[in-house]
Amino acid sequence: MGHNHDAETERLGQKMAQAARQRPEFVGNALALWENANPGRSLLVELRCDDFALWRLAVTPRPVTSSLAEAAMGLGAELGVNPLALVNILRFADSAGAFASANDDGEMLMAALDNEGDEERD
Amino acid sequence: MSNQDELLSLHGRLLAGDLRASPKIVERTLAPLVAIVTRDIAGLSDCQDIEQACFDALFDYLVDPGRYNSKRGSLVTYLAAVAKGKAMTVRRGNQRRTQLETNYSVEEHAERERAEEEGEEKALDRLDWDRFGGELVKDPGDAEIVALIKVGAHTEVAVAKAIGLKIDSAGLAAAARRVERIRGRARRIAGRNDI
Repeated sequence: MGHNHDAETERLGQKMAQAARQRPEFVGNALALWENANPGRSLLVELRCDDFALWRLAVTPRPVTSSLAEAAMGLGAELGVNPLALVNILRFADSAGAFASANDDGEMLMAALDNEGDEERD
Repeated sequence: MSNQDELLSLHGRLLAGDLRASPKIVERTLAPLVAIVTRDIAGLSDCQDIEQACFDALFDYLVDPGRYNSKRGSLVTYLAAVAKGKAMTVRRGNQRRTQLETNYSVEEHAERERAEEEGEEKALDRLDWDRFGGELVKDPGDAEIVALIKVGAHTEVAVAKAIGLKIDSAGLAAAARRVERIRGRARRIAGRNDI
């Protein structure tokens, strides 16, 4: 990992990570969505990392869905966070974002439930 | 490898889609960036605004690193220019807002004074002069002033002439004080009698 733990950089980095929570293009926003949906659960525990790694993760642009798993594994290894948990959080945020922006009178939800039923039968 | 070369290498990686370069770029540029913008933007007293401008400049760059042309200067210089532009916009917005608030406050104050004066005039208009007129007259000359007030002709000059004051600054000031004294009595009568 080898993070440079300069105090001013750490202070500003934490603040920038907070700002990233409002930016859908950043991992910070995905972390915020996961946190809101899982009250009482800790990102630090879930990702098995420390605050130094967490803000660095938050200020990273969100990987596109097509390369999400590969990018998340790379980021996880680089920053010392649990890569599988990161993949799950990013996938969760993608799905939550899709549902939140869907203006289809529940069509997307019905499709997801149908798909789930098909998978159970398979 | 110098810091500049290292940043160029990270920029190249980010351009190629390697997201692992992003936190490294933030780590190396954030503190110097905030220091430069704080130094150069005088008058932007709120350091939160400066920091936010720097975050925004970095966010914009990280999602679209192609905006930065490495041939035109260092990455920190580029980010500082963008952040300064954003900070100046915030400062102009703050100044405009402060000016609007000041104007609003002055207008509101003037409006309140107008309303108070109008209310007072209306109270005088509604006053039952036959019933309360006597209470307004206490000193020599008050009757003349009340008569002028009743017909709305209580200018300082008219009052001064009516009660025998000189038409100079002292006389006009005394006339104004006499009118105000009677208006004060009218206010109190109106208040007592819920007019």
